[in-house]
This record gives sequence, structure tokens and C-alpha cells, in this order.
Amino acid sequence: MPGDSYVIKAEDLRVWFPLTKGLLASLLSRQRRFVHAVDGVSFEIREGETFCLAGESGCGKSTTGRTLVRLTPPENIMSGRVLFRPSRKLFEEVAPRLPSHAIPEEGVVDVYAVPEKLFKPLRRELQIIFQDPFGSLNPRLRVRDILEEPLIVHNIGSTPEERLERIVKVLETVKLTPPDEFLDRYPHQLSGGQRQRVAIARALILNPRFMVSDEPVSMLDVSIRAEVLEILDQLRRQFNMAQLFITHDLALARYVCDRIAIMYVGKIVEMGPTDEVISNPLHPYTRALMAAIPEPDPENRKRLRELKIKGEVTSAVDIPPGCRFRPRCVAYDENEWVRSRCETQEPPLIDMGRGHSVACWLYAKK
Amino acid sequence: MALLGERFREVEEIFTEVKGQLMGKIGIGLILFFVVVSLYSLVAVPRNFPDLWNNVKYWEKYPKTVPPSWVSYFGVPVAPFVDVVLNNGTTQLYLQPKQVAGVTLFGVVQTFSFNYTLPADAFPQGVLVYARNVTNATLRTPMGVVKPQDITVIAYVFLHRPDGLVLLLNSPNPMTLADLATVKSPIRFSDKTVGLQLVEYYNKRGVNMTQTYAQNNAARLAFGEYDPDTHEIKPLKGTYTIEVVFTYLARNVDPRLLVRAINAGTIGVQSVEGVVQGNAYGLMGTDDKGRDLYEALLYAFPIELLIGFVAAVLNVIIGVVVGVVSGYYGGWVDEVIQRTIDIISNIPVLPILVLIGAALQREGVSGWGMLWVIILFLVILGWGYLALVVRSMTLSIKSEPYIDAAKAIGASNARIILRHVLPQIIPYAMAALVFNVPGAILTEAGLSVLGIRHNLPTWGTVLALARDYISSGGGNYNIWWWILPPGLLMGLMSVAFVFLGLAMETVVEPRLKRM
Ligand SMILES: Nc1ncnc2c1ncn2[C@@H]1O[C@H](COP(=O)(O)OP(=O)(O)OP(=O)(O)O)[C@@H](O)[C@H]1O
Ligand code: SF4
Ligand SMILES: [Mg+2]
Repeated sequence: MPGDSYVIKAEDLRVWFPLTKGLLASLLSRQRRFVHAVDGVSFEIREGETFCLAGESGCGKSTTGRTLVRLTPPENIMSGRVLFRPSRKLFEEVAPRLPSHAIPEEGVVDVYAVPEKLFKPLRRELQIIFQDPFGSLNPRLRVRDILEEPLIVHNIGSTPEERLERIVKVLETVKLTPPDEFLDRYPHQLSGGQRQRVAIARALILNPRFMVSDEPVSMLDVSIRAEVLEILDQLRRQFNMAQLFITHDLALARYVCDRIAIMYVGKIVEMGPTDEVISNPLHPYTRALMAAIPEPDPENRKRLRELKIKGEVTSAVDIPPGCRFRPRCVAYDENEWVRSRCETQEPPLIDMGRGHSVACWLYAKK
Repeated sequence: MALLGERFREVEEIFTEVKGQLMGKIGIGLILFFVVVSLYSLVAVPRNFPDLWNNVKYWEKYPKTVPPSWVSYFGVPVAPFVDVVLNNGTTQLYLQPKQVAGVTLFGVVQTFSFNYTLPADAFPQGVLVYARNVTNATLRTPMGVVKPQDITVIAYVFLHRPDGLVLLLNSPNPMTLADLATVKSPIRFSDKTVGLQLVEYYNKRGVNMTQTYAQNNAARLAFGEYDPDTHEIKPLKGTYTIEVVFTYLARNVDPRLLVRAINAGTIGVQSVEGVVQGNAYGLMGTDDKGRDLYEALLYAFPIELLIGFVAAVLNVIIGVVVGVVSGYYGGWVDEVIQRTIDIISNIPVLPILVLIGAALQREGVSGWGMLWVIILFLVILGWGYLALVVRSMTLSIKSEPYIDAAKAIGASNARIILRHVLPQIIPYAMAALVFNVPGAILTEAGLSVLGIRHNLPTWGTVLALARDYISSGGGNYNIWWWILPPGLLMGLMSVAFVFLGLAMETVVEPRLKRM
């Protein structure tokens, strides 16, 4: 089903956060230091496609996801752009008011080139679900208030009755039935899975074209993960949404995603169809991760380190020259012939065929 | 509208929870008391009371620096305060001269009199008489026209003691009827006149008494007996009669005609106010100018609430708005605001206010103008702490995922602040408001005591005057009725708001933690 053209596309995206310094330090030195949360990332996601971002904690997955739905302050976007193809209807609604540089090609908007004030309608089709279903619902609002807010903000439904009708429908879609029973509950009166479904309903009620699901089940009990995932999957089919699915769980990724990208300290190191990447991992880092899959227990990371990886996660502030994975790379130690390139040049993504690409000098033509 | 409805529900909920606590009950009860008394004050005390308060003449007739009259129930001997208006003067023609206390009364004589009972071993402070209603008209007689300027009036005040002694209390001073009608000052007790009579009286009885002694103790001697053995003056209990006499003298008019005219009310004194200044007064006593402290304290109730609430409300509004803006928008706005707070919270409030107050006093600003300036500065210097707290609350709320979620659905900053940030802060702000109320009241009182006077009768003013009185060395220290009530009222008001604030905080705190 995936269409040919992308719904959303990241182009050489760099998101850096300045390290907060004390007043004295910033007076003493002009030079500012940055956390390179996302450091040159490109990918695209097509209609109906679920694209996974996987990687260790802190590698920039959430930042990437948030950036796609314009939750990152524009001043932190150091380079690159996010291109979004809204539905025809929405495009025609917003295009006349947009400056020409915000429309790089017909039907596509450059997300960060749209002035803040004009961006609101586009949010209808760019939605996000957060990891924490406890925190992402305002504890002081009832389910009906939470779900009504997007409708009010976007002037959908002229009467409370009309809006209620829509709210009831969306509750049914996320299987919170009977809806009447949930309308007047506060978040603390819901289970974790129910809360996450309310969060999904809130994103869904605006009929998004693209949705970021940032570890939507990682904080839920294992027993209820499956049903939430099933709902997400069903929605994707039903509405043909493009989805960015963020996870650090590769076993889960295999089950959910069409394609997968492995991130390491702000960069995609390997990307391709999920089955392909998982059955035939190329990058030394991916291989190390794969070695950890069969163990669903939380000690994973320790084993990971013992196995095929060494050292600590590279700091996202002081990126070493050459390949950022080098300090931890076992292949670097084992293959003397790549070392000089590893040390001096950042490896580009190399196309290995069948949509599979990898950023490692091991696979470059000698 | 829905937003408002929700807020009200919340406020109602908090109120119900607060009422459930003992401290909340006490606080609400006390505040209710202050509100009810304030409302009563608004109807009971004339709003021009500050003018009266600063008008020394108005308080002339009241006893000075005396405790409340109810002290008699605690066994304190009390000479009551009596203030009567007499309309029933009798005018007669004395064809034969009559001697009273060494005064010869002759011709047209008008007499008003009233009784005063001294029930206990105490001395009144003195006697004052006012000619209240003088008909100042021209009299047409067959013999010609008599103008008020042509009639000479002499006023005498006689004290008939229970032991039969009669004393002239004033030094008689002839004046025209026209002058009597315009002069508002009272016919005063004269120490000299009374002293002279007493020296004569006691010397006749073989008791030695100097003129100086008699003069210095005239008021007490008038209502007492001198004991030559102990050299003490003992109050003379019993019923006294005070007789106010006016003699009228006019050329070219038949005295009988004059008598008739005076009795008919076409000319002359119509009514007289007689005052015996006891040694206790009213519900709360008086200050050294005879001012009624009960009225002053009552008048101050709504003012205190106003000062407290205006300052607290402004403080909280500024604190919340600035705190939310600072925390929510961050960046250089935040930086500027924080540095501003650093500066203003390091300004010592009291010294600055004393300085400003002194400057205003020099410029002749007083009354409400001064009070508002003081409140203004209290507010300007006072919102910093709350702003910091609100700022940090805002920061923590802002980092909640549901704020990101709201942004993601396209909610505007205004909407996020109103819907997701403020509601969390409002309960805390309400507690802060309540806590803030006594602050301004106490600061205002402190400033008064430190010498910054706005001349409005507030609790602080009353307290400050007591301090003046003591430090001027003139009076005694035992002026509990002057110090305790304003002190207690301020304390009680603080307790009321602090209790309510604490009760609210215990309700608000778990909510804060829940967020
Ligand atoms: N707003 C921000 N300001 C400063 N630094 C940030 C900000 N957001 C993220 N970072 C930093 O950027 C890096 C990437 O964070 P990000 O949340 O994207 O990682 P992640 O892959 O989602 O990790 P996790 O699996 O723990 O969620 C981290 O080092 C993080 O500390
Ligand atoms: S480029 Fe070199 S250092 Fe980097 S992953 Fe490949 S082999 Fe290891
Ligand atoms: Mg994350």
C-alpha cells in the first residue's frame, strides 16, 4: 500500500541544544557548546508506512520525532529541513497564505519555514503520542475536556453536541467503550492502557496524516502493550497514516515497522526494511544491538557491553572526528585497513541494495 | 465560560475542604467577624470621621486619657461622664439682688440646671458648659429697637455640692448677646476662680491652704474634701446640681419685656449643653485629646481590610502574571524579570517606606493620598517572592508532557496558560493572597509607629499615638485601653488570615504535589 511519494521527509536535520552555562562562564567565553541531539539525519516516510527509529537512550530519537511535528524551537534547528505533504484539502487551505519559500514544491510545505502564526492548521495533520500516558494528560481535565480541546482549537464542530458526537466516535475507535462510561473520568480514574488510548484518541480526533508514536507502550504493562499496538496498527491501516514509531526495543520494531533506522548519537547508522536490517545487520552497532534482542530482560545493556561493544556511549557534546562510533567499535579494532578512514572521515550512508543502507567504512569501496 | 465554570467548581471544592479543618473554621469565623464589623462600621461611623478625628475642638468636651466606663464593673471607682442638653431654662426678673457663691444676681436672670451623681470614690475631670442655641434677633419694643449688640450677657456656672457648699466654676465675662451667639467655645471651668473660693472656704474653717495648691487641685477640690491631717483630697460622693445662669442687661428696654421675650424664645439662650467630664468614657476609653477610641477603631475596620486586600490582591496579580510570563516565555524576558526581582527583593522595604513617608510628610501629603502611596510602594516592592514561586511552578508545569501535547494539537500560548498553567497556580495564589493580607496591615501600623503619619484613624495610628503619649513623658504608662485593643485587633486579624492561609495550604499542597 505505501504510496510512492513521501508524507514527511527529514533532510540533513541537525538539532543542537546549547549547553546552559552560568552567567560567569558565558561572560568569560564567547564560544557556546552544544548537545548534538540530532546531527545530520535524513529519511522519508510514505503514506501508510510505519518507520521505526531505534537506538539507545539519549541518541536523539525523541528529538527527531518532536522536530518532525514542530515541537522543537526553530532556533535549535541548526540545519536541514522537514518537508511535509499535507492532504490536498489542507494544502489548498493553507497554501495561499504561505510565503513562497515555505512551499518548496507543489503540495509540500517546509515545516520550519512556515511562520508560527500560520502553522496552526497544519497541526491537524501532524500529531504525536508521548511515551508517558500519565504525564501527557492534564490530571485536572476530564476525558471529554481533553478530547474537546483539539476540536475547539481548530474550530471543528460548531456546537458542543456536534463535538461530543465526534468525541464519542473517536472513543469507540480506540475501543474505550461504552464511551459514556469514560467521558467524565479524570485521568487518575483510568488505567495506563486506557490513558494511552485517550492520548491516541486526542491525536486521532484531528485526522492526522502523520503521527509520531514516541515509545507509546514502553511505560505500559507488558500485558496491555499488545492491545495498544493493535489499535495503532489498525488505525494506520484504516486511515493510511504515515507513522514514525520510536522504540528502543528491536523485537517490538520487528513486529511493528515496515522500515527501520538505527540511530547512534544523533546519526542514522543503518536503515532499511525491518526484516532485512534485523536478519542481516551490517553496522557493528546494529550487530551489537541484535545480540541483545533475545534477552527481554532489563539487564540487556550490561550484556550488550560485554558482548560486542566497548566503552561508554559517546558524548553528544564532544563528537570525535571521523566515525562517532569508533571509540566503541569492535570492528575498528579487528580491521586494521579501515582505521585511517574511521579516524578522519565521517562515514556516509552507503546503499547496499534493496533499500538497505549503512554508515560504516567497512562497506565502502576500497 | 466553561473555563470559568470549572474554576468556580475548583474554588468551591477548596473552600469546602478548608471549612472542614479547625484552623480553617477559626480563620473563616474571624474573617467573617471582621467583615461584619466592617459593614457595621460603614453604616455606624460617619465617613467624614477622619475630619472629626483631626478636629481638636470636637473632642474638647470629652475626658482625656480615660479608660472605658465598664471598668466600674471590675471595681474601679468611676465618675461617670454626663453630657446633657437643657432646653428648659427659666427666666425671671430678680427685683431683689440675690447672692450665690459670692455673686450678686440681679435683673433678668435665666437659669438652666441639671443633677450629677457621683456614686464612687473618683473625681470627674471637669465641667464644661456650652450655650448651644442662642436666638440672636432684634427686639422691637414700644420704646424702640433693641439689637443683640445692645444686650450684655454674663454667664455663671454654679456647682451645688451635696454638703451645701456652692461654688462658682467659671470666671464670669460680660459679652454681648451677638458675641455669645457666634462664639462656639465653652464656658470653662476656671481653676483660679474655684481656687480662690476654696482657699477662702478652708481658711474660714481654720484649714491652711495656699492659693497655688487650691488652683492646682481645683477640679478635685470642687468634687472632694480636703483632709488637713493626711493632706489628701477625698472624693465627695452624692448628688450635685449644676446651675447655668445667664444675666441679661439692656438699656432702653423694660426688663419685664425682656423676660417675656426670652421665655417666648424670641431672643436669648434657648438651650445649654452641660458636660461633666468623668474619669471613664465609652466602650474603649479616650486618648489624650479626648478622642473616642471605640469610634476610631471601629472606623478603621474596613480601612484595614481595604489596605490588606488591595495590597494583597495587587501583589498576587502582579506576582502571578509576572511569574507565569517569566516561567512560560523564558529567554531574555525571564532574565530581565529575574534580575528585577533580585533588585527589588534586596531593597529593605521598611527603611525605604520610612524615607518615602518622610518625604511625603514634608510635601504635606497625608490622609488617603499618603496611604495609597504607601500601599503602592508595598506592592511595588512586594511581589517578587510570589513571582519567583509562580515562575518555578510554571517551569515545572511547562515541562509536563501534556503541555507539549497541547502545543501539538495547536493550542495557542494564551490557551495553554489559561487552561493548563493558571489553574494549577490559582489555588496556590489564593493561599498566598490570604497570607499577604496581614502583611500590608502590619507594615502600615509599623510605619505609623515609626513616625510616618497619614492622619487617618487606623489601628496603627492609634497605636502610634499611644507610643507618642508615653514617650512624650506627659502621661502615665497604664494606658492599656489605648494600646491593647489596636494591638489585639491587628493580632487577631493576622491570626485570622494566617489560619485560613495555612488551612488553604494544606488543601492546596497535595494538589501541588499531584501535578
Ligand atoms: N530541550 C532540550 N534541551 C537540552 N537538551 C536536550 C533537550 N531535549 C533533548 N536534549 C538532549 O538531547 C539528547 C537526545 O535526547 P532525546 O530525548 O532525543 O533522546 P532519546 O533517544 O529519545 O532518549 P530516550 O530513549 O531516553 O527517550 C539527550 O542528550 C538530551 O539530554
Ligand atoms: S566506520 Fe569504522 S569505526 Fe565506524 S563503525 Fe565502521 S568500522 Fe567502526
Ligand atoms: Mg525519548
